[in-house]
Amino acid sequence: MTDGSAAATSRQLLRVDDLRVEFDTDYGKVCALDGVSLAVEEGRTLGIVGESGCGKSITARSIMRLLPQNASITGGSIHYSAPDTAPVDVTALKPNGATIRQLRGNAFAMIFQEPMTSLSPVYTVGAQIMEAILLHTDLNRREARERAIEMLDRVNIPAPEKRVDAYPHQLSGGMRQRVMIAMALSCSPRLLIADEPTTALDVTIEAQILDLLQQMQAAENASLIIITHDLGVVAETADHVAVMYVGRVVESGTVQDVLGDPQHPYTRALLHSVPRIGAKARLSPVGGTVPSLLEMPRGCKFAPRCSVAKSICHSSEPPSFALAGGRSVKCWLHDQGGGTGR
Amino acid sequence: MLSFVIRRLLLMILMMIVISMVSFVIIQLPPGDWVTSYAAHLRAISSPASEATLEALRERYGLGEPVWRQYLFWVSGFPRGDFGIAMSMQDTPVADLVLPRFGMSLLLSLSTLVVVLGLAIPFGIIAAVNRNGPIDYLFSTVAFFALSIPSFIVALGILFISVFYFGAVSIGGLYDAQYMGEPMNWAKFKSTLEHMPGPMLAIGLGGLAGTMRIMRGNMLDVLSQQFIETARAKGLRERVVVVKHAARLAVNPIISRVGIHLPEIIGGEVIVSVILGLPTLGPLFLRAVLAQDMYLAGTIIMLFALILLIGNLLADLVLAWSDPRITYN
Amino acid sequence: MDATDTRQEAQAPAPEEEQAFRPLSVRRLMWRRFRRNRMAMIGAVLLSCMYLMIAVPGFFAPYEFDRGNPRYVFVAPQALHFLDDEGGFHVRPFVYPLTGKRDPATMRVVYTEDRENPQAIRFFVRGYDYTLFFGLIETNIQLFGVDEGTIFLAGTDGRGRDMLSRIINGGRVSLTIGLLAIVIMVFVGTAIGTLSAYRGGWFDTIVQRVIELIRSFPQLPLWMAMAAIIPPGWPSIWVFFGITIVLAMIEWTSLAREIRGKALALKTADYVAAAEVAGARAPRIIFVHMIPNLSSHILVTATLAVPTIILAESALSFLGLGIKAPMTSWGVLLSEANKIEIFRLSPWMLTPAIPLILTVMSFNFLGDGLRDVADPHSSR
Repeated sequence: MTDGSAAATSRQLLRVDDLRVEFDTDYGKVCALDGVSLAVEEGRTLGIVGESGCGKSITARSIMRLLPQNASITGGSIHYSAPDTAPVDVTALKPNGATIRQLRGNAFAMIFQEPMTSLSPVYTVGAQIMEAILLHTDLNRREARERAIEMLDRVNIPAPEKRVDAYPHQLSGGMRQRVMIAMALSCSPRLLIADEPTTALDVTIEAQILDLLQQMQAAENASLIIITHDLGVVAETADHVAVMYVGRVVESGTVQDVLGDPQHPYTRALLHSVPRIGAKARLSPVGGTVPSLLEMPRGCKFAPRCSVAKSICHSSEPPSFALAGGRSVKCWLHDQGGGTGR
Repeated sequence: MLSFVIRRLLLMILMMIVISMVSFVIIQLPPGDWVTSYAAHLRAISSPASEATLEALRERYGLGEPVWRQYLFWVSGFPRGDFGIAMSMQDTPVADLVLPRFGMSLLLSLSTLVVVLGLAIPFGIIAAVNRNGPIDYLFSTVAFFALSIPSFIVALGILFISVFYFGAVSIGGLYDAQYMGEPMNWAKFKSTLEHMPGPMLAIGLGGLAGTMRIMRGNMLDVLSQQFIETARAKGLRERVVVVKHAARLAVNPIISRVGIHLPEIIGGEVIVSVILGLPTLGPLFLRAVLAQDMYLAGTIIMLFALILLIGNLLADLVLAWSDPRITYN
Repeated sequence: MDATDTRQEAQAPAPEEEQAFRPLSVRRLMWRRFRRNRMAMIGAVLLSCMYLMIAVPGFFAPYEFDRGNPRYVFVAPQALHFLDDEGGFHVRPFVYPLTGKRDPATMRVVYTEDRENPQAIRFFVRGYDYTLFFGLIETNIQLFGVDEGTIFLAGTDGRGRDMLSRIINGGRVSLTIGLLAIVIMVFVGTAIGTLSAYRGGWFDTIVQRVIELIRSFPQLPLWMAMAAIIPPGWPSIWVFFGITIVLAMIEWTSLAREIRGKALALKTADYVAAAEVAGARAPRIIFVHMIPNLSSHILVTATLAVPTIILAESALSFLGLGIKAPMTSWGVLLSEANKIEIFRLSPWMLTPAIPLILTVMSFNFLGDGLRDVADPHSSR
């Protein structure tokens, strides 16, 4: 799948620009996303990596407009432009209005981390898949059921015409995640967001599910955002990658570039903390802890944990520096202007 | 499913046999018997009966026999629909006294239950959806106060208002006086329905408040679950998400609580009926207990237990139908 | 065994308390959390006042509750005045004495106020005799009274007895019966619940079947049937204890069930296993390791069960199956008010409903507050 050279020529399906999301908490306003920018190209896969709490899921939920009630988008834009429809700025839509509901489940679909709890226990899987089909297509109940069975078949569920009437508790975790994929793809979405789709699954199942996701994506020519804390998953599935740290994208570019030649100290630290088969070198965990959103350092948010931090790193936050090949890095080390920034 | 129902029904019959024994023993426990209390009554109106007369009465009702023989004598009539005679009510057969009132009790209890659930569930949903909003605070505050007002005080309050402000001269009843003694017909049934809201309010208020609070809590639990987000991610309307997905699951614990709830309703029905003079089992039971009329009291307490058993069975069936995770074993 | 589950739980959440670096004792921490719950505090204060009043009813009740004055039958509550007829303001409130005359048409006694002779309320007056501290001290000081005439702040009943005094003395029964029954209930319920969980086997099976059997009857009718067992010839104090036992004998089942459930979970806890490995015997494990850990749960359940008991006593007394004269309780007082003429002509007879509702509400508030303290993770 990874095909870096052609990447630059593809058309952008979704662009997130300078997105800012704030949470209203008991301790006051907390900024969960601060200036996140991303782009997803048509038919390509973007991987978003980072430690837990870095804002990966918030980013995904912002695109779906599924943020919790106490969260609000306070800046930036999310532009969606499909070839045959007028472009939309998702951030400008009413939270539960008709437009975003028309996009959800239809143009955008999402798969969640916990397959055990992401299906309602009181409806059959068939009914839950049909729900989206009936909502977004003109098919009648019988045709919708046919389509549900067809989708279950395509995600390699054995005996789909029987399983369509099964309840979620009768299926294993891997099976349920397949059902989720079938549900998500039942209306042929342009963009599929998978939020840690394999974290809760066994390693053997994980590979199957990732394979399946890629197959389905290729068949539908959909774009995929895969959110994970596992660099291996990114390397295996994604074309582009965005590395996030406390609500910011610190480095982005093609998978080959970023993972092959990381430029941000955080990306490097992440890569060093991943065990590799055959390598005898000691693993080095990323030192220190993620700062609390309530007590953020003043300058670069990674500076307190960074081994190569300079004095400027502690006083002011770096902007994103563009590098060759469409890469960008949010780090003062790449300031070509000699330490003065913008 | 069918075998589950049959198994439950058999178990219920077994349970009823034990319950009939316990009922009889409890009713038998008070020192003395109906004849003693009758003799006391005769003395009180200063026409004491001779020892021989009392002994004859005991003989007649078999009160001198050992308890187990009295029990067998009582139970042996059940298949014929004979539940003994009410000694304190001029030897009227218990069945004749109890049956019409049993129907009224069942009607009142079950309709209260239905109305309580029918109101508490939507109120709970509304409170949960507007969590920490003004509506939620209003509902929760009212519920908290309502929870602390016992049913007999509500009944007294209703009675007080109807007497003091509306000048009512006679109390309650469950249908207009003209239908007294008439068999159940459409007009009487209609009149009954018109009289029901007051008693239902008295009996159900506490349960309504409690159930609402539980429903709210369940809804909040369910709304935070992942599959709710799945439903939203499909593009469903919020109303559909709340009702079809969240409430559908949150209601299950409420159904399984009917078994806890029904005894409260029956207890409330007894005391409220006494205050409001309703033709249900409650006032009859009170009279029977006070007069130590054992066949009458025993039959009624057994019927109360039967209502509970039926209610629990129905709740289990509804739950089994409502929650696919429950297996019929 | 100091570190119990509840204690660890109590320390885990509440980040704002962790910011104070001085470690607080668990008890202080719980007290803090409890104090933050305003409704629970109100409940606690109200209950303290009520229990203080019933502890020395002779001091707070202006009249003897069981002695009537035939000259003052069905007197409406006398108003406390601050302004006299000339518009003069009095710091010390006063009442107007009453004189009764029978209306020849209705045959009811009508009371007229003697506006010329206002009687200021006096505090710490000497009235009727009563004893304090179980008969140790004899005194006749009441909190308030008047020199001449009467002061019936809540009116009088059909035998000319002061309703306020009757309510205070009735509260004595209603409030103590709740606590007494709860003590019995906690004792029986905890013992049977833990034993049932710890022993398991046939003992557990029998206990569970018995509980199920008791629970298969609706409570109130069962209470009514049980209350009828109390012989009519018993003196009223025996009846009081009899009713207490009857109430506790049915209510223990719910506590026993809950305790059994919690105890079953505790049984598999590591520290109980550790105690078993160390050779501790069953009584030691139950009393030293299990019951202390259940104590907060027991406390909450017991507090929330008090209103049930109080209401049950009121209901039984109301139905004529409970407390009997000369004792009185709120239920008895309300049953005396349950007549149409009284609703119409003497509605103040219904005032005992107010302290009854207040008590139930206070216990509910208190129980809710305690639950929040004992179990901060409950989602409610």
